[in-house]
Amino acid sequence: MKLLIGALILLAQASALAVEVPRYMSYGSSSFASHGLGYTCFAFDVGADVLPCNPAFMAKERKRVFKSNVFFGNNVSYAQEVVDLVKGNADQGTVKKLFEERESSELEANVEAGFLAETFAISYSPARINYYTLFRNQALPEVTVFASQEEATKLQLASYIEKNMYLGLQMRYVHRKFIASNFFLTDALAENGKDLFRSQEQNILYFEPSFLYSRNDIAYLPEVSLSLVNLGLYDEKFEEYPSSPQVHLSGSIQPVVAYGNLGLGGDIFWDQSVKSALEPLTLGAFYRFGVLKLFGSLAEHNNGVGFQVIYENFNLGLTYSYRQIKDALGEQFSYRRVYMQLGIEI
Amino acid sequence: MKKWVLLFSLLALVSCQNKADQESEDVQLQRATRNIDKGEYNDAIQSLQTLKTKSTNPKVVMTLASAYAGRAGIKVDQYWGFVVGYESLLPEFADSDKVKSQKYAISSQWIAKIPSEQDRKSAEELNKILVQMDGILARIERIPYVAREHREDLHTAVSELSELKTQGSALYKAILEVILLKSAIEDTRTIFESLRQKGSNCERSGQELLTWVKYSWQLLTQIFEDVAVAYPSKKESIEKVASPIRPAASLLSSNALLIPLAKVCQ
Repeated sequence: MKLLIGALILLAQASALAVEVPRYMSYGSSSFASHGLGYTCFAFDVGADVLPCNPAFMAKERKRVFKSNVFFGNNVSYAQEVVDLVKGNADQGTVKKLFEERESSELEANVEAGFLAETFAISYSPARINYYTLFRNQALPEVTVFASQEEATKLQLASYIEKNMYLGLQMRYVHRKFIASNFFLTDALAENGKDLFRSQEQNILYFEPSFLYSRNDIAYLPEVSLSLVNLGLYDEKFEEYPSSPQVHLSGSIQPVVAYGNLGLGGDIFWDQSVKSALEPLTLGAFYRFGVLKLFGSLAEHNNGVGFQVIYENFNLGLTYSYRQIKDALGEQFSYRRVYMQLGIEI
Repeated sequence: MKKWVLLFSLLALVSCQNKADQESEDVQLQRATRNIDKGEYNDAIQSLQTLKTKSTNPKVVMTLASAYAGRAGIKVDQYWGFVVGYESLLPEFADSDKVKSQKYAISSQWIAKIPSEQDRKSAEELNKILVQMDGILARIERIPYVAREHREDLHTAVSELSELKTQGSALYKAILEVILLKSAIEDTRTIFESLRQKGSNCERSGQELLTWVKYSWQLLTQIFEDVAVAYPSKKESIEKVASPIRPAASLLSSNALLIPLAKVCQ
């Protein structure tokens, strides 16, 4: 009985609230294309990333190609400090540099290389860096810091089944080191401030299947897809990284246009974090003409637009992303970010 | 079986209630922080004082102290430079020979008027303190001056932080004390200027001067103690700087310096 009472008391001492990580960072799969297309990257493959968001599209891949991209957003100058922070090498100088601006900031950067063939693709990302800080209280800044470094390997397999149906599977292994902490600025600058930046590690093996129905015999090429993402085996779960799977129902058409290719699509998703009726819906579009690809998306809280220019084996792209986030007090904050990608395709 | 069901229900209820209470405390803290950022300090102080009666979370006290500091007009932009470069406050501080300015020192002509040798030595000690204060002021030039009517909020903030024993709270307390010290030294200069003026009430100004000097020295002693808490590995070097000032603090506490000043005023 005493043991049970002890357990009761222990359980009653609830742990502190976890740091709230922006969702697109916590799912570990944000990319150049997804910042511009949002979740409609499951609806069509514009070829802007190394691998498509939806593995079922690999079933329609017909050529062999090697691709490599470097993708980064604002504040890339902080990259070394972020890596130091995650690896436990941060000192007072690192802290002072990161907090010098005393403004909320964000950094996302990724390097990825992959090989695509018919019905099969593999990619490796040695370093995806995410960094996010939130500053509150100008009298004594209260800082929320999230920093992560990930190494990921993706394998996509896909196959035609029958009657215009395709099946795809993405297996993704991610090794991640991250820090998620909330503290006052003076806590970080005091002597034991380093203790606030203890990193944690996580290994996950994801299994992300996708089903695609595609009618190539109809002029406007309608497609419907059902995908499951974030379904994985975790060595350890953390509140900062949601482990609940996400389901996507996407559809697209490509109306015939006089010049180039136009695609219009939509995506509806569901997971445990959905709070409003409109939140799951994203509408997107792309237009391809010669060396230029344009794409964009609209959703309740996230909008994006981007372009990519291809010249011989090289490509260069820019994406603009606009997000709105509601905090615990119901107040909305908006964020505008620009991302750049440089790539090579052989 | 019923016992188990009851026990697990109780477990769930307590766990949920604690989670609800904790979320409620976090939301209240966030709301108070939002009020501070909007400049609504009175609302923040009121809600945090209420929260403090129900919570032992040190975050509540830190946020409350920051609300008082914010109401006194103190924001991070004004003390960031000191926080990242506090070491400049420490070295060579006690060595008054290296401090060149004598602008706010008692002139040697005045000291010569003092009949007693012991009193003259006391006056010279006071002069050393005044010159050192000038040296301190030169190092904390960029720290803001806070008008007297707002200093009560800073004192309240410092008093709130005294309840905590963390390194972070000690550092913040030291920052606020440096701001109070800067303001006190500036006021000391103003009083010193008034002493020089003809027709001024020499004895009253002299007493006021000593009061401010004594208060500044008490603040300085406290700052060194708090910085030593924030940076324990630097305690030795801080002690090396702080130890010469303690005799001066004792001297000021004994009012021994009132005598030579009174003699000068006669």
